[in-house]
Amino acid sequence: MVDKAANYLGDDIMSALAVDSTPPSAKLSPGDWMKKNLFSNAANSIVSLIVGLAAAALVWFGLKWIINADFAIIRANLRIFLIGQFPKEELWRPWASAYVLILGAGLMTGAMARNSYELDISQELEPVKESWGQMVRRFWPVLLVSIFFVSFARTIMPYIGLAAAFVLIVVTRELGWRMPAAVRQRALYIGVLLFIVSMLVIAGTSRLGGYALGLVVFIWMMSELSQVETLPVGFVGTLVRAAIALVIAAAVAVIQNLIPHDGFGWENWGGLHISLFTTVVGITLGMPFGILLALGRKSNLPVLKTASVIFIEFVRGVPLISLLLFSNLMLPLFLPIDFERPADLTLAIVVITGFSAAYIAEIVRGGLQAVPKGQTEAAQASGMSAASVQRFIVLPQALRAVIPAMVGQFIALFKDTSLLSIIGILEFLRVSDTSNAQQEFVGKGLASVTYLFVAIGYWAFAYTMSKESRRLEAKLGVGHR
Amino acid sequence: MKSASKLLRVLAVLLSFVLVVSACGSDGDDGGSADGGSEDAGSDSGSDDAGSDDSGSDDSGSDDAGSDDAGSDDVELAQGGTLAAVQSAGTLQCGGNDTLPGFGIVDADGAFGGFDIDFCAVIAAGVLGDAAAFEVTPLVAAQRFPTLQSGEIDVLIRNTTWTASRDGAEQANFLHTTFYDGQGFMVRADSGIASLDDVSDASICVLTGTTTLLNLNAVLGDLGIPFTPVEFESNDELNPAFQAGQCEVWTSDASQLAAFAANMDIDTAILPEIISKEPLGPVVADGDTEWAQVVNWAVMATVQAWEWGIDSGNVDSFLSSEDSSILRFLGEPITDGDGNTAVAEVGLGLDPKFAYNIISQVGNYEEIFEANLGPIGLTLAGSPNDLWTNGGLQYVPPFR
Repeated sequence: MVDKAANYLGDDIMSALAVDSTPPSAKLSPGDWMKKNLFSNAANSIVSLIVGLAAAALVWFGLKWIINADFAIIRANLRIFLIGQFPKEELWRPWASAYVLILGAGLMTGAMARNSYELDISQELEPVKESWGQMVRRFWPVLLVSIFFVSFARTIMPYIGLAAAFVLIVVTRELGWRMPAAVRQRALYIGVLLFIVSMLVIAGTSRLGGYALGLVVFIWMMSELSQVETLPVGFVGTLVRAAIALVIAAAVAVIQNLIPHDGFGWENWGGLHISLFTTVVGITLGMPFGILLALGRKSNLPVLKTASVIFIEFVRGVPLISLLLFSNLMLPLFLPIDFERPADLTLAIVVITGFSAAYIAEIVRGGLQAVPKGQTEAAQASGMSAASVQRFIVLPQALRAVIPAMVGQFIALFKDTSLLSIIGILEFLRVSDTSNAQQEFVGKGLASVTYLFVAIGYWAFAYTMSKESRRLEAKLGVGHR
Repeated sequence: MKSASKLLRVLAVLLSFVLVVSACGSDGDDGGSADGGSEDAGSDSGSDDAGSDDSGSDDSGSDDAGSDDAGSDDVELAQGGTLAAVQSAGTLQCGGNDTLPGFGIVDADGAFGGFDIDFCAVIAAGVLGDAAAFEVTPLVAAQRFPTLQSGEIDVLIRNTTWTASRDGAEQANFLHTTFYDGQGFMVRADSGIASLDDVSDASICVLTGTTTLLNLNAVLGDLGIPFTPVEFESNDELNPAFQAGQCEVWTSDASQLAAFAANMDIDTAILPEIISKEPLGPVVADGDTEWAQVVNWAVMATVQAWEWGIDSGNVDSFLSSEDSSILRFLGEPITDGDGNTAVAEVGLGLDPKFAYNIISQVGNYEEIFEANLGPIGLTLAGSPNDLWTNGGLQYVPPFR
């Protein structure tokens, strides 16, 4: 280094500064790098040696353990780990459901990527189309873990199924990218509807599914009708639009109910599937509720404010596990005697949604406080309505500021789903215990194998969430603006 | 100040609203419970009838019904009519275990199985005529009694020991004991320990914080046998330690020792001494005598069939039996002294063929035992769970 710097100074300093003002890149050979960073003096050398030996021993024993470990318990119980006690003869349902889900997600993300690409062009910015290499780098933990999971399969079918899923991801995303602009603008609705359809494929048709479909169709139709100019404006117009949308939504729900109820509902759901499902539902339903609660808490209306504060502080002040037990053991006591008891998973989703809403509300409130008062005042001064001020000025800034905390909450929620076992739901982690009680595996000390398997599963999804949050932060310029 | 008084007013309005709602709610409750009460009265008279059929036991029968009425009105109102509720729902809700080898597990096909789970099937076959018409809710130990009281499950069959305090304080009603377990001791076959007397100064592996540890201290203390307890948090840690020789003796429930021994590479032996009584069986909530009787007789039918040598394979051949008690048991018409042929009605509120359904669809006690507990290394012959005629404890009242 010293020599190099001397040479550098020996040259014509002025011309060097003029030509290249960046510092010289410190590309060292591996030997030099080690000398500089690991063995710069005697004390450092000793520390490096000890740490290095410990790391080598760790890798050695880890590999030895993995090679010697008996993974038969995973192979025998792979299906239970992934989808729980789903009936074997109905296995086509999870596969079909996954493909519909991929179809929706591929079309939606492809269309949205294209939309932002077109926006960049119209704003004369440098448009970027993400390459497949970049996609793989983004989602490698999930891709890798799905290959890891399938590698325990005992038949060829799961391999084919997974390969088909990868192909479908590529095809649907490219398809979404190439859809006409009019369809692309509606990609969000298509994606959400296909998400619900995929849930209906795995559960079978249901009243709840009809409501969910109807609700999304209603919102979609309202937004479509708001662009129809032949309809009257004002309150009457809104009523007319709502009536038309309601009729269409009801028709969709009724058609859905006409399809025979041949599924199993979600009584039989379990494994990793239920952990992911409750997380996704908890986040997507908890977000809007949480934002409303945060706004309610900051509101000047005393009833709204008090109700929000009571809800948030009650839910936050009580462990999730006790809320789950409360819903499971106490709630039925308050229901009418002839009222059909809701499924365990229904109760769990209500609890998880409320729980995440309360936490999200406090996170969002933190974000709201970070938005300078001048922003609101300036928006009000320019004549925006109270709702518009929140919608277009305050919330975008507030939410952007709290992405790390929010994603932290999502990851925590994902891991909290392991508590569902307390109300008798066979979620991912619980399968580790039940499979170790099977006669051929009991008392063989295989808990370490199954726990490792489960840990890898949790890690892959949690780490992907974390990576995505950092990507979102970078994209939105958190910390730079 | 102004906003504070506003808040107070709002709170007052809210409070009065809550009061009105709760008042309405309790009105509704009263109506509901009145219904439940009258239903129960009907069922009580039903059991009285059954009692008078039974020649000798009129008194005890009416006593039972009486004390039940007086003692637990509230619970009864909430829980009455379980049999009708189960039959109208078409599914039995069964609380079970999913992590106890041999008794309650989730197999690799995702189905619940095990000794306790098979008794869920027995009750479903008896009550609904379909051994598959039950759903299992896996419960952790701490949740089983609250879940039973909440009415989420109709019957609890989860290796639950019958004790006085559970019968009393937990409002649980323990029925026929399906498995007589007890705390035992396991040693390596070559250890030279043949009975508890040889255990002196031995190190004993035991799970920490369990009644097993308390029993161990109490019993060996009383016997004056010195020992060193080696405590573990879970069997996953204890099992390898025992196999590695860190302790000479492992104490736990005898059924669990057998389950672990079945998968060990070393030869083990279980000492003859059993130092605690752990009778395990189905449990229902207090306050519904009709339901308790139904569950009890469904379970006891498996033992009665065993006593008569009736199993799932040969039950059809017994339909033409000469023995009128077997015919009555299987719900076949019998001819009385006057020459009238009729199906005997025992008045439990069940299909007369309930025992036939149980035996043909699930099997008798011996079959259930051998299918689930045989593979984990438990033997039936000569154990406390053997039939009373073979010197065991399985004894059921007569089926007439």
